[in-house]
Amino acid sequence: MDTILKVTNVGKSYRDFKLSDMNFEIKKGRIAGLIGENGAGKTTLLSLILDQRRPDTGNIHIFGKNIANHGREIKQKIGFYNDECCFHPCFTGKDMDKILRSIYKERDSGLYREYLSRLKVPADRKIKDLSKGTKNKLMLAASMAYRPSLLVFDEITSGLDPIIRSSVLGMIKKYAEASQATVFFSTHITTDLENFADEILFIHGGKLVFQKEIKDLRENYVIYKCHRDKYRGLSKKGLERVLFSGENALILTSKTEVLEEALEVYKIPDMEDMMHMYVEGERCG
Amino acid sequence: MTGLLKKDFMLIMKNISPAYFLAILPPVVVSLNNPAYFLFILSVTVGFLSAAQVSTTLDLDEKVHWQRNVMSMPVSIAGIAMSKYILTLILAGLAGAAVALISSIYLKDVVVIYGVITLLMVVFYNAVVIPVSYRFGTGASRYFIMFFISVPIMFVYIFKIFDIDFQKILMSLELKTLYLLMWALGAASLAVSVLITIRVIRKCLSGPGSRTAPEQLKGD
Repeated sequence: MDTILKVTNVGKSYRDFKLSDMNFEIKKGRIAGLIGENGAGKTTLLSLILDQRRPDTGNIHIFGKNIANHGREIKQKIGFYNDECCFHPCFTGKDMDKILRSIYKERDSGLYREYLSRLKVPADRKIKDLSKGTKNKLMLAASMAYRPSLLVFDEITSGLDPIIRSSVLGMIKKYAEASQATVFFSTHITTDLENFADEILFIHGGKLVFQKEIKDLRENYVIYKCHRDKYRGLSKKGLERVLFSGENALILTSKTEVLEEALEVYKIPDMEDMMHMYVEGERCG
Repeated sequence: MTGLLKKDFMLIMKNISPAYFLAILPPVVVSLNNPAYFLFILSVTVGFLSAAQVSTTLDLDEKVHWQRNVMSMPVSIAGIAMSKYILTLILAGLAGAAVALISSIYLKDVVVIYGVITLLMVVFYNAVVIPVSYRFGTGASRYFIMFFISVPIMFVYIFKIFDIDFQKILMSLELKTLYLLMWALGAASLAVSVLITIRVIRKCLSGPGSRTAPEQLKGD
């Protein structure tokens, strides 16, 4: 399978924050979700991928080409959303089409109108008069109307009610499946990831903590519970993370690990649990 | 770049405010009482109103973090910068042509000097405002404009100190030379301004700073 997005040793320093050692690849046709707590670096990473900032170190290759050198060519095939509508409130959906038609060579106004109709977005109403959910749907339609091969979305479902969220994500998934497009989106809503993404990238403190398949996370991990004194006496072999909660120790490990001592199964972790273990917990050993 | 120009023209058309007509009132009143200065006042007023349209587009862009998003579109940095300068030149041309036409009708003779003054005013104004807005934001550009307006006044004092009769020097020049000088100054200021703007945008892309980057590229 082709690699659509390849991030190699990417780092970016700000006065108050540092993103470092970002290394990952996303294959063609995959839906990858980027998750992390507020301030983890999700938006920074996406802004680097979208060439809104240049990394201090490393390279970003999209469709096999370095975005720093082939930006204009690559961006013709990237659809994006940056956590808010980037068009002026006085414009309508129709105005946006007139502008974007002159920027994107493969823009299909007929397809755009079809998306607007499917998403029930009024093309003649000013953006300032649209609700947040409708603005998001408008931006989604605008970003897909030139048939991009890569969709990069930053918090596209943020602030939306569950019904609209489901409709937006459903539309993206349908588009991705129909056109073999790759999707890379950030969210802090873990259920969106679990129901929608093929793989998850978890970012914390400016570093990539893990990149795993959703299926792997769902089926192959378990959290055990024991007294913290007992934990201290355990062999740490095969144990991944530990989170101390009062007198208890919650231990994350792969189901396939054969523990030297039988422990009480606490729960099968969901995405939120994984985030807690990685953000608030510590490495075992 | 065509798309960006389209966007700016649409913005200008959609944001024409009745306040502009109020802004024309004082100059009209002054002109009626001082007909000798009518063309000069017309030239400056039309020039200033036209020049301010570019600032309006920059201000509106800033409000929606447009510059951050346009970086992700297939438009080069030079294209992003040049779209504002081409807008400037188009507005300058239209304003200059309008003033030249009105002054020719008023004086019943083909007179272009006032049109040239208007055109150059739009050019010089935006040669300052565009790079400053990209670097410091449109709010800060207003302070630069205040400084910019005070520069000709400083020159008056400098000429006075060195006993330079500027008007005499101007009158001694052939009209052709005067026009050439004005066009050269206009072209030079634009060229320098374009280079500065492109450099500012490139620096904002790759500079460290904080996550709250210069105004036009804010967004993290």
